[in-house]
Amino acid sequence: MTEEQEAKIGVFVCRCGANIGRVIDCENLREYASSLKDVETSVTHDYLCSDDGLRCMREEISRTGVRAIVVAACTPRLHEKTFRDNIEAAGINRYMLHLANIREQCAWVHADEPYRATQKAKDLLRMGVMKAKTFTPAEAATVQLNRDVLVIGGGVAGIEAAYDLAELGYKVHLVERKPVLGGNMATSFTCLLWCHEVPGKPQNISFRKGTFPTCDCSGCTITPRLVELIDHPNVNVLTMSEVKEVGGYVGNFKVRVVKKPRYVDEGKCVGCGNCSTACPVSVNNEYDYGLADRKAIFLPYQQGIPRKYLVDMDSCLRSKGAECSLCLDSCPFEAPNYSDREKEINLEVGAIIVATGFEAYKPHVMGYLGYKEFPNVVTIMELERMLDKAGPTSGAVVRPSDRKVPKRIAFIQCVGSRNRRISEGYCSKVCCMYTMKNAQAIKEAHPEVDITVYYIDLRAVGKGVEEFYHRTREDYGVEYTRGRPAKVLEDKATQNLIIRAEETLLNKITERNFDLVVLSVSLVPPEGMKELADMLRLRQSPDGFIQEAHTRMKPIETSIEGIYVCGCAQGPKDVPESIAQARAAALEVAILIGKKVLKAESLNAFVDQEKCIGCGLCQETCPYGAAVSEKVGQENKSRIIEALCRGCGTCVVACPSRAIMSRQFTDRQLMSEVRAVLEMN
Amino acid sequence: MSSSKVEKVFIGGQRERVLEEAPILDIECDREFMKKIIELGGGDVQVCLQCGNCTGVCPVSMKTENKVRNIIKMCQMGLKNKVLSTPWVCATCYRCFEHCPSGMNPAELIVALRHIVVRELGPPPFVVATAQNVANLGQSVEVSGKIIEIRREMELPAEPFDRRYRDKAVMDIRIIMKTTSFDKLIGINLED
Repeated sequence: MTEEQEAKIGVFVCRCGANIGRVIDCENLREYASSLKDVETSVTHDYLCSDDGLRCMREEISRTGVRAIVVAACTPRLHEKTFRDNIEAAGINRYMLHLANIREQCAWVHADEPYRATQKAKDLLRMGVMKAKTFTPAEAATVQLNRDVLVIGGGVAGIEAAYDLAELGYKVHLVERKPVLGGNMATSFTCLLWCHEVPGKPQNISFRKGTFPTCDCSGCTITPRLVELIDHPNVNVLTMSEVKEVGGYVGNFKVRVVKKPRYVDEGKCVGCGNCSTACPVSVNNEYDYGLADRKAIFLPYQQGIPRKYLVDMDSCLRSKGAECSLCLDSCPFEAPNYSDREKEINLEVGAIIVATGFEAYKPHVMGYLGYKEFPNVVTIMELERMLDKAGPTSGAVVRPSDRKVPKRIAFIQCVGSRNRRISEGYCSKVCCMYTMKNAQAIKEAHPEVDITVYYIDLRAVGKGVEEFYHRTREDYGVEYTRGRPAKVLEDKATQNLIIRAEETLLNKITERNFDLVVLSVSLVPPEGMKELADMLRLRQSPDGFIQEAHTRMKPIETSIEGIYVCGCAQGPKDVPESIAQARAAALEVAILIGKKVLKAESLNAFVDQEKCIGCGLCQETCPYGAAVSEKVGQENKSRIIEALCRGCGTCVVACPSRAIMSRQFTDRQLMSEVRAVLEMN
Repeated sequence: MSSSKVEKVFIGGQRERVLEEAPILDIECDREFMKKIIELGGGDVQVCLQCGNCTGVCPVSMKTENKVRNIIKMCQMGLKNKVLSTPWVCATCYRCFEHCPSGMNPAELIVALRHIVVRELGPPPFVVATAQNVANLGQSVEVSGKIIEIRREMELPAEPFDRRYRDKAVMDIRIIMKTTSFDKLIGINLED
C-alpha cells in the first residue's frame, strides 16, 4: 500500500469476554473506527482469537477486499502470530497487520476510568489505522537449518537429550568437560542394600513397604543409558572438552570446542587397569573429595563411562623430568600417548542444548559450620561417595578423622540455600529429599546409627515424597529438629562435634554431640556458567542459572532462538524433572531443525547501504550479533542477518547516519502514528 | 492477654501451678505495627523465616523466656501490646544480624521497639537515671562512693576527667538533648 489513496483498512475490535468489554465501550469504539478515513469495515467480536472469531475475520476480509488490518485486542506478544497466520489464510500479506493493545494498555490499567480508557483506546486505534496505511507487503526471511545438534554437558539431562535426538536420527555432538559422562548423578552412587546383595545384611530393619522409586541406585539407572549412548552411531562424545567460542545463529551455529589432552589413546584403551597398577605415583583423588588416593594414570570412578584411563600430567613423574614409562610398558595396546596435545574441533550445528547442570555449593566461606576446619564435617557429596559400594570406603560411612563408623550423625539442611547473604536466597529443592534418601541409606548400612536432621522448613513435595518422608521418620527413626544451627564446635580430644542450635518448636537452646556432621549443601551454577552464558548471549536469572524465555509457557526455550536449556542448568531440580525437561528440549530441537527451512518473522532491522558509512557501531551494539560487515565495492558496509535479528532496535538508535530502520517501525510509520495521536481528540 | 495462675490436679495426683492462657484473638493483631517498625528503622520483619539462627548465636537468649525469634514472630503477627509488655533483653551485639540468612537485622528491630516503648509507655527508670547522669556529668555512671575509694587505692586522681574540657562537653551534650527534645522524651531535667 505504497499510495495512501489505495488504503482499504479493516478494523476488528475484540471484547475478550469481559476483559476488555467490561471497561471499554467496544461498540462506541467500532463506530468511531468506521468514521475514520479509509476504514472500509469494522467489526466487534467476543473472542477474536477463537475459531469463530478468526473465521469471522476471514469472511469479512474476503467480503470487503480490505488490504490492511488493524486488530484492537490484547498484546502482540500473545496473538500476533495467530492473527498474522489468519490474514495470510485470507489472502493478505501477513505483515499488513497492526495490533492496537486495548486490553493491557487500556482496559486493565484504567479499569476504574471506563470513559477515559475508551478515549485512549480510540487514540491507539487511530494511530494503528494511520500506521497501517503505510504498510507494505514483506516476505519472511528463510533460513536453511543445519541438522546437527550440540549438547553442552554430559550429565543426566544432556545424555537424555542427546540419546533422544540420536534415536530420532539427528547427529549429536555431546561436549563434556570431565573425563567421564554422567555428571553429578553418576557420582551419587547411593546403592541401598536391596540393590546390591551384600553379605551380613542387617535383619532388624523390615522392608515392610518395599522399595521406593527415589531410592533406586543411580549407578544402576544411568550406566545402561550411558553405554547405549556411547556406542550410538549418531552420537559424537567429546569428553574433557569445553566450548570456547560460539558464533552464528539459529540453524547455523559455528562452535569451536577445545579438547584437553587425555594422554591415552581412547581408541586403544580397553580399561584393563594394568597401567594404573604399574604407576608408582599416588595422590589424593579429587573425584572422591580426598577420601581416597589414586594413581597418576587413573579412572575417576570405577563405573565411569567412557571407561578410558587418563593421565594427570601435573602429578605424573614425566612432568618432573623423569623418564618413567611404566604405564606404556604395561599396556598391552600401547594406549598411553605422552605427546598428546590440546585439540581444536570446529562444529557446525543447527541447534544447541545447554545442559551444564549444577555444582555442589562449597561451604568454605561459612566458617561457623567448621567445614574444612574440622575433619568430621563433610558435605553431602562426600557422603554420597562414601555410600558408593565401589567408592573410596566401599559403602561404609566413616569419620574422615579416624575411619571409624560414627554413632551419631547430624544433617544440617539449607547450607547455601535460602540464604540471602550468599545468593538470591533460592531453595535448592532437592536437599530435603536427598537427605531422607541418604539417612535411609546410612540406616540400612549401619542400623545402630542415630540420625538427627536440623531443618528450617521441610519441603517434601512431589509424587510419593511425603510418604518417603513418613518412612524416614517412622521406619528408620530419623529425628527431625527444627532450627538452623548457630555454630558447630569441635571437642579437641575426641574430634566429636557439638552443634549449638535453637529447637524452635521447644523454644530452647540445645547443644548436642555428634560424631559426624553432614552439610546438605545447595545446588549452585557450575564454574564457568557466566562465561558460557556470555558466549551464547543467554540471560542468567539472578540466581546465576540460565533464564528461560518464559517461566511458565516457555520453560525450555532461551532468549536466543535455536538454543534450549534443560536440567539443572535452568535451576535446581531432581532427576525425573531433569529427564522430562531434557526430552522436551530434544523434542523442541527436533521440531525446529526437522523443518529444514525456518521462516523468520520479519520484525527485523535492515540497512540502507547507500546511507551506511561503515562505522561498525551497529555491530558493536547488537546484543544478538546480527549486524555484520560486508564488502560492497571498495567500502565496508553493514548488513543485518535477518534470521538473527530480534527487532530490538538498538542498532537503529546507534546508527549515526540513520541508515538502519526497523521493519514495522520505520520513521515514516512512527511519524504517522505521532501525527495521528496529535491530530485530534 | 490475661493469664492467671490456677491450682490444678494432674493425673497421678501431683499438684502443680499451671498457666491458664487465653487464645490470641484477631483483635490483638495490629496490622499497622509493622509499618511503625519500618518507620523507626527496624526493617521488614516479614523476611524472617523463623529459622532460629539468631537465637542460637544470641549471648542473652538463655536469660530470657522471650527470645529474639519470638519477638520477631510477635511483630509479624502485630501483637503490639504483647511485645511491649513482655520482658525481653538484648545486648545489641549484632551477632543475630551477622548470621541471619534472610538478611534481616533483629538488633535494629529491638532498637526500634525500644523507641516505641519509650514513646508509648515511657522510659524504664534505669534509662531515666542513666540519661540524667549523661546530662549532668557527660557519662552514664556517676563517679562516687566505692569508685572514688578504689581510685584512691590505685593512686588515681579522684576524677577520671579533666574539668576544663568536661564542662564544655557537658554543655554541648545538653544543647544536643535540648534541640532534639531528648530531655522531654525521657523526662529528665536539664536546668540544674
